[in-house]
Amino acid sequence: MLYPRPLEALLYELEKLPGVGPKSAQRLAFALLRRDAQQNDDLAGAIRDVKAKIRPCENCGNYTDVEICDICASPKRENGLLCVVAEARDVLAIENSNEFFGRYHVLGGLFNPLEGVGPEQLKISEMIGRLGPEHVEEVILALSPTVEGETTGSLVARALEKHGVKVTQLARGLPFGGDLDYADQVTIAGALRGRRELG
Amino acid sequence: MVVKSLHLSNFRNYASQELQLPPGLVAFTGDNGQGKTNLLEAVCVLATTKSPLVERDRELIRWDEKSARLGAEIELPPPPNREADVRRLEYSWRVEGQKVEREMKVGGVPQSAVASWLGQLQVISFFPHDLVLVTGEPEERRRFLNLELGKIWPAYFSDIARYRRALQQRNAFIKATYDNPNRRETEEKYGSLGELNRALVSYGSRVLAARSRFFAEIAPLLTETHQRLSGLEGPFEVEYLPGLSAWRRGDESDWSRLFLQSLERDHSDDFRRSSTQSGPHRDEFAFKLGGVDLRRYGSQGQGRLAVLSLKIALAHWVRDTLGDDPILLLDDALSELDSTRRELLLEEAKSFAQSVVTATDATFLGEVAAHFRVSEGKVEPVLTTA
Repeated sequence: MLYPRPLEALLYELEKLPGVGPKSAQRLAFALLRRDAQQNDDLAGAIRDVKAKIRPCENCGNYTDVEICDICASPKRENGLLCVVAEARDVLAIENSNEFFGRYHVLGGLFNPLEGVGPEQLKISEMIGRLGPEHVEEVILALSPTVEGETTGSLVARALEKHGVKVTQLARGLPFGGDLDYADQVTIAGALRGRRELG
Repeated sequence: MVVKSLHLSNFRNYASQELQLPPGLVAFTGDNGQGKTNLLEAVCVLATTKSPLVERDRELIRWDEKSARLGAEIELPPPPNREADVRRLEYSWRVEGQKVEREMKVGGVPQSAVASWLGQLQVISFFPHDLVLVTGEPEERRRFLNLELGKIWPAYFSDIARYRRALQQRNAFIKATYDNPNRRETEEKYGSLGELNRALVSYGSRVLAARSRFFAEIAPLLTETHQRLSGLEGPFEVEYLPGLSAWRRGDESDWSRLFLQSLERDHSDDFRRSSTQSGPHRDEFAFKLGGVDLRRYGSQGQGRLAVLSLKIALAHWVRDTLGDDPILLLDDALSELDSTRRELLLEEAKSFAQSVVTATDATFLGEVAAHFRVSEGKVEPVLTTA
């Protein structure tokens, strides 16, 4: 069945979004049709604003609507502790833990030659530039435990080598709240390799 | 361990079949094309999630059916293994349009990862097709190694997967860097190839070490098994040939160092060919009888005996490593052997807690724990102690 052209155009745009297939696109499109014009204008405005007003923080690369993001600007954040992540969305994941009070640095991706991402596209020199002014003593690598995450981690660690900072990475192993006998053998084998002394 | 019962529904030519199996030697006899091999294949699928005979799962489902199911009860040895004595495995397929969805359950609990499924049922199988291990391409031999070692060492599987990924990244990198001056400049600044090499070596050296350990441990078992089966004194060995340019025969010292040296040595070659020349993805092994490579100079009979020796030595190795017998499956292994060797092979099979053999007739089977006749996708007991 053919839809009127404006509806067709909306469906086409919606289907480009992640996680939206033809069925969900239809449901969304018909829901939008039923709503007040004002509600739709608000939505359209919000979509326009997000692109116009959100930009990367000039210091760390996190999403912000001002020049320097709230985390970088906050005097409550510890100087000297820098957490390196691949994408801005990873900042949110770590923030939600309420356990980290240092600052972030967003690399803007992972070293991934298969997808044409070389180290020059990652914000490594920007990170080096922050070490002195922010008196960084420890850099925490919070990258995914994939091949790309590990290669990027060692790339960053080597770039930091001659700057006299401590480099650490998030621990890998058993998930919290899980029973040992429910963990898969690969996770257990990895956790064994990464075991540490108590006390 | 022992397979106590086996259930097949809509699997291959079986509509619905229930079987109770005793420990010891179990024989399935019948004419060609009746479904003997399918029974052994079913046990293999339960053990590894993969058929040793076909690539596509669709071919395992009975003609015109939309779903199929396999089930088994596995009896584990009594203490010190004190956990549940009987383990229930279920494996099922559903055809959804072009795709085949599968589900695996252990004791009724669905399993998402193949890694957690492998090892629940330990099986060593011989199918006539396995002769390709001697005659086929190196790829066949590496696939054999990966499956057999992954079943025993789950971490080996993840090392292989990560190694492959790191290899793809390295190959993509050298392809993109070659005759690209900008890329070369950043390469000098960041030393990215060095990092890729490090990743490749860290996963790859674990694969090399696992394979080398396996070949060292199985070597004496192989020589003994081949002597017992063939009655020949001539030394039989399976020689591991690591795919590293810096490796020299007999050097098993430090796989990380050897691998790294090989990468450095191959540097210009790698760039010229836009691919990585050294690494476990180039590993090989050779069957040698009295020093002669059977791939090139062996007869069909020698090849068959070599593969049978490898499989049975492997079963001994699994027994030594896990402290429990794997189930030995021999498909049509007897027909092309002379009567002495047939008896020796059956003796060998009887030394395991349970082994299952197929044959076209029962005349040379001797004493068995159970004998079933297979005809047109139906199994009838002739004799059983189960």
